[in-house]
Amino acid sequence: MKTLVLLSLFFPILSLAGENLPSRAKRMKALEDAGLFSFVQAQQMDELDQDLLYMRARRSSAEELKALYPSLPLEGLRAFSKEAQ
Amino acid sequence: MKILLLGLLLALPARADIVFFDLNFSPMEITAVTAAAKARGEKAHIFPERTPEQQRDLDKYYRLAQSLQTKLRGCQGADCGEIIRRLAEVQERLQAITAVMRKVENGELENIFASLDARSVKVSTMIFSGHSGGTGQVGGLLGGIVVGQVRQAFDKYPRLLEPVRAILLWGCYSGTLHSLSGIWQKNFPSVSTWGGFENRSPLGIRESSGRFLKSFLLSESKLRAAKGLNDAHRVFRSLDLVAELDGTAVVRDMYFTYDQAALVSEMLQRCQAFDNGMMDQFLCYDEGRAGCENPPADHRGALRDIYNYLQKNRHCHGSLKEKYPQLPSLEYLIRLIYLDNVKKNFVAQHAAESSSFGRIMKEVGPVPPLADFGKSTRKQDMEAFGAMATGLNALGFRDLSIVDRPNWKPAMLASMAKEALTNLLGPSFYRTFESSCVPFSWVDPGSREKDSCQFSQSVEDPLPVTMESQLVAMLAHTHIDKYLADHMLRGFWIDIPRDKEVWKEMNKAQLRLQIKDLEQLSDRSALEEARLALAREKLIHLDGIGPRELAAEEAAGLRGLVVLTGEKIEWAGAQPHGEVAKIALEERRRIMERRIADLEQIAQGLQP
Repeated sequence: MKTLVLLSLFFPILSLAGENLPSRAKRMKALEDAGLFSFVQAQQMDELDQDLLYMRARRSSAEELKALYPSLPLEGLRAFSKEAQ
Repeated sequence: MKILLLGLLLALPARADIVFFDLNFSPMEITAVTAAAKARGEKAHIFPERTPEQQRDLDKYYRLAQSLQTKLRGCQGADCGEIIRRLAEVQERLQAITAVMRKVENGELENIFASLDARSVKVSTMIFSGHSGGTGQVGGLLGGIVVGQVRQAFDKYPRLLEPVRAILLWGCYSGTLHSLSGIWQKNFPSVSTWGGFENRSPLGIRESSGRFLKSFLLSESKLRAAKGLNDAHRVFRSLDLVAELDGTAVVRDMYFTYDQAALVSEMLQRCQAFDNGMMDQFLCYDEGRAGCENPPADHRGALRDIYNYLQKNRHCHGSLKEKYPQLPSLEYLIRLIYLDNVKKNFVAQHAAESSSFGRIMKEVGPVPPLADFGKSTRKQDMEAFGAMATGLNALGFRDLSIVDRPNWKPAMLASMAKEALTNLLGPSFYRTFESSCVPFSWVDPGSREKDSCQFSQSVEDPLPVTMESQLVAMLAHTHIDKYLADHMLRGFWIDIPRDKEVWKEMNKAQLRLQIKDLEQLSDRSALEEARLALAREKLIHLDGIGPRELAAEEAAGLRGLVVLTGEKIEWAGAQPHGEVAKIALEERRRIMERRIADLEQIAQGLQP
């Protein structure tokens, strides 16, 4: 506990916000569950593009996503609920 | 008739059982193991053993401690003091509950193995659950084991190992390829099935951890019986929560994650593809060297290739990290690739702090205005960071001993602003972390999300109460930390005579370095001067003493520190925002007092 207290006092910077990038396994499962895996394959997305899609899907509205990915099927996006984390 | 029955019983093969080591209190996993054992027609043995009352009390206080620790991370000002106080109380309760239990420590593992062996228990699966760093150790509130101890215990009771088909390691990073194959399987080649987590694992009080464990235990035999890699991967992918929890498995010579299945040898081979050239490419852009002045505007090229490689080959992370300590995390790399957008968000969100940043930085020399960081290249940023470091050094800011100089405050503020700025935009200690204070959404322009790099607080004028409170704490601890370092009290948890000798030699080497560094400074502060004199004295003294004197000296040093801490507690209590610092210091003093008592006992038992 001493370490925790000292860290919180000395390094307020460590109070981080936000969500980390997913592992490839977690991302793949989420994209599969959302029915987006065939979209990813059709677009020939590399690892980085898939991570961007995953993170945007978790954070952005359907309108914002549609603007970025016009052919994205939006039906399964609810699967990106934060509960899975 | 009785003799006949007994004879029949003895003739039956011993039933296979699951042995579960609950090293950090995991009630949901106990439920899962019990249910899975029943379904497998086996018995579950849980260690350390506990009464239902102990289990109930552990549950209550363990959950309370977790919740208080979460609150402590997000608290502010005086609230933190109350949380620290409550947390200390709860932890004392937990210590009292576990003190009467037979924790898995100090040879208890061998006692457990002896008892299982004596009862002819046939172990099919063994599970170690607790905190882990993926380096062959698992532990927590209820004990701890390292792979060597398990090896030793099995060597002593080899009959126990023969029927073991699976060992599951239920802790963070325990399921990396290196942990499962390189550490555990290497020690126990007869065990065919291994399971764990590639990243962080959930606490054992969470339902998810139990669900995955139960599913694994119920599918274990199917995994082994699968015909080939693809069939086994299909079984593995069907495990409950396997992807969500980053579960992994090794079955004989095959390694599985949800997204990949390959032979262990093939997985290891892939790590060879990362070479010096790739690392140099990263450093070239990260440091804005000639030819890499800025990451490409189309976000493609070498940095992206490195990102794709590292994401696809996360299993190489451990071995690559040993070879390249500066290997960036994915979090860092993606922000570097999209540095243009990160900087646009930074300038847009912090425009209002431009003038106070300029005022603070005036002390350290020619630093560009804040808005310039929106259009500058990485190379230009690196030059600006370099100029800030030079300016701070000229002010005498080398470490926290700056507080002993008359002009400490402007230099401290400038240093904090520089730190916050580099954490946002430059190479920083976040380079190798799996997290960042820059929100992910900054990779796109126009983000509304705020960063948590504390830049705004660092350039706020006047200082906000929270920052002042942290500053008071920092200043109170500065002298204590210097005292600890100067009196060589950093090794004060070592109790073995031989280790004390090793520690002494290490410290002598450190002292020589410290003396050399301090002698090179032409403008030593009063504290630095005192540290130099003490280091010279200590080096001469260390030569002539043994373990017993070392323990006695540590106790004496700590007694001095208790007095110094008392002074700082009074000082912090007198400051307008010193309450949190005061409580933290009191806690620190309490730990030191306990340690002094231990050291005095140790010194009595050691040879002079």
